[in-house]
Amino acid sequence: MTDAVAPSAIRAPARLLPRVQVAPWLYLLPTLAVLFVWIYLPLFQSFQLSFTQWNMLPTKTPKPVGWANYRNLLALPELRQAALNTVWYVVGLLPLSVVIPLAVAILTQDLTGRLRNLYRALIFIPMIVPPIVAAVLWRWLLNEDYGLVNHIIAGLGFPTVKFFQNPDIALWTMVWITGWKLMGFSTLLLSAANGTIDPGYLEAARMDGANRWQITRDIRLPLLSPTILLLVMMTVLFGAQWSFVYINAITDGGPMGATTNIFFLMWKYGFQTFSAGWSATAGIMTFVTFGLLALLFLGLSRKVAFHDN
Amino acid sequence: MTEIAISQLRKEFAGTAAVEAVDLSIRSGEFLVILGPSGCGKSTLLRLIAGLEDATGGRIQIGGTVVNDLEPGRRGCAMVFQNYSLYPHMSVAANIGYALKVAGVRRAERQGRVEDVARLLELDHLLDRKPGQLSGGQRQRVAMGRAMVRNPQVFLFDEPLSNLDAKLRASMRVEIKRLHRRLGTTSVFVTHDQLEAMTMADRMVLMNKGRIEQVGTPQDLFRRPASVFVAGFIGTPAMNLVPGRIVSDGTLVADGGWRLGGRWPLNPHTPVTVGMRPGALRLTAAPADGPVFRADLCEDLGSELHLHATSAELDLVVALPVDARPPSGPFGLTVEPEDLHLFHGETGQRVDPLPALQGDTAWQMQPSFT
Ligand SMILES: Nc1ncnc2c1ncn2[C@@H]1O[C@H](COP(=O)(O)OP(=O)(O)O)[C@@H](O)[C@H]1O
Ligand SMILES: [Mg+2]
Repeated sequence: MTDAVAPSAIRAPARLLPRVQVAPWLYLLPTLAVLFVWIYLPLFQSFQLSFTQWNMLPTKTPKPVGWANYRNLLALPELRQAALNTVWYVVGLLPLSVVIPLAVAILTQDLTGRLRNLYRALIFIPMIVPPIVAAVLWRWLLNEDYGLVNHIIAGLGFPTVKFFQNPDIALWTMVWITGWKLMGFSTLLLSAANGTIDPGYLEAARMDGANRWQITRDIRLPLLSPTILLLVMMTVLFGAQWSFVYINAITDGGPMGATTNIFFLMWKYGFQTFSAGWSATAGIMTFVTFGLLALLFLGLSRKVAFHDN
Repeated sequence: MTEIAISQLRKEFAGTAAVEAVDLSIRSGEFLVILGPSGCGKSTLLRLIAGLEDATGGRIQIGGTVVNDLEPGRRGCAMVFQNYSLYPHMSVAANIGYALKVAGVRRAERQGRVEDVARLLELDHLLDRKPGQLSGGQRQRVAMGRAMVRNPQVFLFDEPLSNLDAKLRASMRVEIKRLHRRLGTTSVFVTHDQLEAMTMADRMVLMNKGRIEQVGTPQDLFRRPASVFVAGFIGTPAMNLVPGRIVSDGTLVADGGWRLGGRWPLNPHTPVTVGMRPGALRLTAAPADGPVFRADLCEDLGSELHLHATSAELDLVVALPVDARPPSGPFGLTVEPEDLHLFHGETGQRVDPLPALQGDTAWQMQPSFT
């Protein structure tokens, strides 16, 4: 946006407003205002809040407690479990949001006509289903007693699976639902990126004697690396957040905290137990952690990913 | 010994033929240039040889083997693409060495061969760069290196010089010819630039609308064009092409009542197209019968003058030596019968004159058309 606006903005009003270039800032003002009011201000206030104790009642004022919230939270097994679960969410999501979509995008690149439309419909339907509908849908499908999936499992002669009640399985069920919803988007992005690769490179590689696999490994994957890295980054940074709706609607973080991740915990502290201080503390810790991760990725993408211009 | 034999080759895109009825044999070690206007199917023909397109019909043999069903990498051809298509994420060394890597050549040997090629092309100091950091001419060389490193049986070039500026193009032209002389590899070179074709070709092919118009040496095509299309395409400034017909006494008359010489094996009243090179026209005094011209424009190219001469029916270009003075008043034009090119009005095919008879003037007896 700023790229397109700035040059003309600098030139035209330069005569009206000599010297100081006010116009670009005027154009930016609405965006900056929104960013400030809705992002930076709350962030700063959360930071303040994390050093206080407050039960969110407007009649009470937050009581300063110093670093106590941080000390207490870090000592809490609940938080450690949620943090570890967050890692598992991300690890479990990566195959669903990156590896499988990459394989699908590359394997289906030559599809044409009706088959292509069918495949697209199949891949995109999960994407347009609202998350809450997806949650309800999967709760039915995976229900232990009358769910279709367990019906089939039982039909094949296996014992039924407690998808949501078994603490060892529940997290992976949530990962699957989150990933199922993401796959379409990732495939769309990777297919598009794959489609923009200059066919000349692939022809040159064919002339050089490369087979399909070698072309994929040596030409396609390096040229797709910016998109792959973007998807990995999005999954790592946001994957656990995207599962929030499903945790909230299906397991409520259970059984025994098995599906609780850091974002759900934050929400629970804030809006179920009304410990605003703790919630803010968890939020700030998460923010700092993911902020560092984001910086790491930016550095990585500059180094590793190749950008064709 | 790598000759290429193409017979009845045809390629359709969505039912429209881009290449059809192509018969062509390319001799071992020769430098063959495929010339033609944009969209005539040159690239398609080259890509058919390379295997990047599948033929709709016909047969391609390379070195005696039918290659129609062989993968591009197994045909022994290396290609230099118009925009080079260098792998943007690989260094120059990796670009040149990729074919060897894919072929399973060990790293040490690979490195040696890449360095040999780089030295030959004066790329040694650029081996660690990425294509994005190279100039157009350097990219062109890397593309050449990538093609040369495998010692292919055939080089295929698809307008490899068209992205370079004029000066660089001229020097690369010479360099490619030198490389060819040195390596002696059968080469097929596609271009739309007739200067490139005329200067580089051992033999050339002129294509039009997916078909071959003429195959021969550059001199063949220039001196004895097989069709109106060839006549009009080859030569700068272009050959003057004038409608005409054979009259009842057998002589050739161009539009405007311009009686031209020669004896032609055509029936009276046959419509024809007469071709006259700008350099073959001579200025005369305005004739009593026949077209009277006036000078319209005169372009001074430094080495010669191009005079645009107009009459009531005709617009011709006449090439004059630089010291000639363009006429200010009306004038006539003549052309020696031996310098005429005649084409059948309907088929566009060349018609050769009958051998001169006894009693004709001496210059007509020179066997210039045989
Ligand atoms: N992949 C393709 N699909 C459809 N039509 C094509 C394709 N490639 C070439 N053509 C058509 O075939 C004709 C010849 O193209 P081409 O061989 O590229 O011409 P040239 O190289 O002589 O300029 C053109 O009319 C072009 O539009
Ligand atoms: Mg072309």
